[in-house]
Amino acid sequence: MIRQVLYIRKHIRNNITLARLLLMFLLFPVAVTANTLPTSLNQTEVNTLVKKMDELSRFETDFNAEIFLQQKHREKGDLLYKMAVFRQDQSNHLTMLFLKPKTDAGKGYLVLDKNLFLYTPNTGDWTRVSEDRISGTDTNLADFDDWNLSEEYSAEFVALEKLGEFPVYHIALTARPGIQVKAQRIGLWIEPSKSFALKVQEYAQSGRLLRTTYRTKWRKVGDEGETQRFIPMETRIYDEVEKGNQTIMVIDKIALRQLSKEIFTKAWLEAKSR
Amino acid sequence: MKLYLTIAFRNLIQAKRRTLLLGSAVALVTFIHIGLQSISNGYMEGLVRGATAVAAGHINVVGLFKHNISRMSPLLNDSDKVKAVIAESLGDDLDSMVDRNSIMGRMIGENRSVYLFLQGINLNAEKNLRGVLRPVSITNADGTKENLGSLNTLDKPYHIILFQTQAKKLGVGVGDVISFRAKTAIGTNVTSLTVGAIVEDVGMVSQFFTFTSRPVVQELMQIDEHVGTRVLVYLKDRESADAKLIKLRQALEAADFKLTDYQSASLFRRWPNLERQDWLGQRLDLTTWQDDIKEAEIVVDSIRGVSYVLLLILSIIIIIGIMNTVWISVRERTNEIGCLRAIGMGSRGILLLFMIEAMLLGLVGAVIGGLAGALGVGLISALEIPIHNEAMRIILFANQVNLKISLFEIVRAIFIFSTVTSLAALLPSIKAAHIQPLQAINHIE
Repeated sequence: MIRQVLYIRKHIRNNITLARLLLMFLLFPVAVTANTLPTSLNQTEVNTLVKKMDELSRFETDFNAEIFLQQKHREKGDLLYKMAVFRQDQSNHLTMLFLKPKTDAGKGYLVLDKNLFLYTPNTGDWTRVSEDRISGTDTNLADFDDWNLSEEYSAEFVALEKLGEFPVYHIALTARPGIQVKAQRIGLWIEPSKSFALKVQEYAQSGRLLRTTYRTKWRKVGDEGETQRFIPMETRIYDEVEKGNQTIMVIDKIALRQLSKEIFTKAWLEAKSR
Repeated sequence: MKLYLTIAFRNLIQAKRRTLLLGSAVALVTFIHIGLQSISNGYMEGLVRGATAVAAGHINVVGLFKHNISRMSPLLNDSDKVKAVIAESLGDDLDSMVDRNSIMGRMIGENRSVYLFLQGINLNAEKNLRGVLRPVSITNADGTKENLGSLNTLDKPYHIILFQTQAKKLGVGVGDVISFRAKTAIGTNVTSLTVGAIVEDVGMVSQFFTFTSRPVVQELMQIDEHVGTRVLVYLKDRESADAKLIKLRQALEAADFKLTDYQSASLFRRWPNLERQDWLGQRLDLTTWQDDIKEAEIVVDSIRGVSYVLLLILSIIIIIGIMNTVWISVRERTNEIGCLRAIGMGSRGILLLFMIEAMLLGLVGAVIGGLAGALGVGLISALEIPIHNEAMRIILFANQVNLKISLFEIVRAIFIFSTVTSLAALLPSIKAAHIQPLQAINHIE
């Protein structure tokens, strides 16, 4: 067990080191052409950009991957999870099965009719849970699922800014009235040419910053054209209210192939847990 | 009768050692019974006091709003109309009622965070709560005493009152700023609150509840002042809560409010089931204070259970002891029984003689035990012995040893144990009464 944990930690550390290099490689053309970017976007361009981000977060095909979550908790210390994630965006289905650590192996989440259910193998119970925290980490359901920002929020251009060396569009999102969202306002720092968010900040209704997310490593998956996607391979999430808590999410072994419908059922998760 | 009493009393005096031993045993059992009874009474009092002031009223009317088939929030629309129905329905039986807005969330301190129910209150209207919340008093280096803040701090915006246990867990003191994060009907919201006062714990409820002003929770939940979460109803006689609940349910239904099905359990326990039910919109949920403390009552039941088992064992020992002693006494005094019968005392008289002897022994023992128990309870209560162990404070719902016993309970204990002692002597007394006079006179030890 200790060897497995050390292997996963090493894996995450290597990925983190690689992350900066790959990000620089990916953003190199953007840095070169920074001078040519328009300094402001009109409302139509902003809306189009946000809509494109939503589209790019959605897969035409089914998706599955292994995800490592390293939670640094100020009270509980470090925790490491490994899970298998299965997505079927066409039918809005999502299944997460915990593989490690041994104490959590067999635990699973299932999205059914926009509700998140947790399966606890020790008791065999299914409970509807909040989407705010996955297994007590700083991740929430949106970190694993596709986005729907263009429908849930109205967008506004803030400025052309620099994130480190790289030029990014800073877009501010405000929740549309009557829609239940996890954050009332969101700040997005979007890479202009690929339209992916490198930094995300979520705010509460009171204006307090809740969470900052850096998506530092990206990988191109799928064939050239409509089905091609950029996936954030490494995400660093910082809890801005409970300072000191942070989660690193690393995605591995991505596969874009058709999945059986049975994977998105309670029976499948229960069988896997056994 | 006076003659019988004199003979019985003299016999008891004559068998000094035996009388002392048995009398002490009866006194000890009575003393133990009163001690255990006072512990469970003290616990129950703390539990009810905490539950009905800090956590709930005598009757609680909570608004539950289902946004969709599986998501439910505590929201009470038309709280003014609900209060009007309550006032009209209960009339003179109503003592007071208060609005509270409650929301569960994570209180985040410098080093730690805890889940708490943050209650938005109007402290001026909360006379029961004011009676229970006492700021912690500390002694300074120069010997002067100082309170950790003031309850009136809630008049200031964005201030909070924390219980001692909570402040210790969060590692905060008066004047420190803490954050409260909660999931509301419209999403996650966070607010910053200044610790205005740290109050003494009121048992287990101190682990879960904390107080701020109503506008803070309204802002946090993004609701206007006419929307709340619950109304706490205080009755003049809290024991009538069950009957008044039925009356209130009928009145609210007649006023076109939809209600959840009544179940005698706390709302916290029933929440998952209610969330799964297939209704939408608002429903009112009504519970009594007994329903809300049902889970905690297990401690009272446990104390009482242990108490009864212990008493049963001790009573059996006493019964055997008394029976055995009276048997011996009958054997020793067989000649005396023969003489008494020979000079005209009937078998009933003999029976009465032994029964009075046992009853006198039991009565004196039980009275001594009862008085010693009452004195002990009074003394311990007067000493106000603090409980330093946090776990014990939580379990016993008190910061100091809290024992309660009523005069009725003392009299009842004396009656029970003197009766048990008398009944234990019945069989050997009947045997003594049936001894033939001639046989008794000729009896050789």
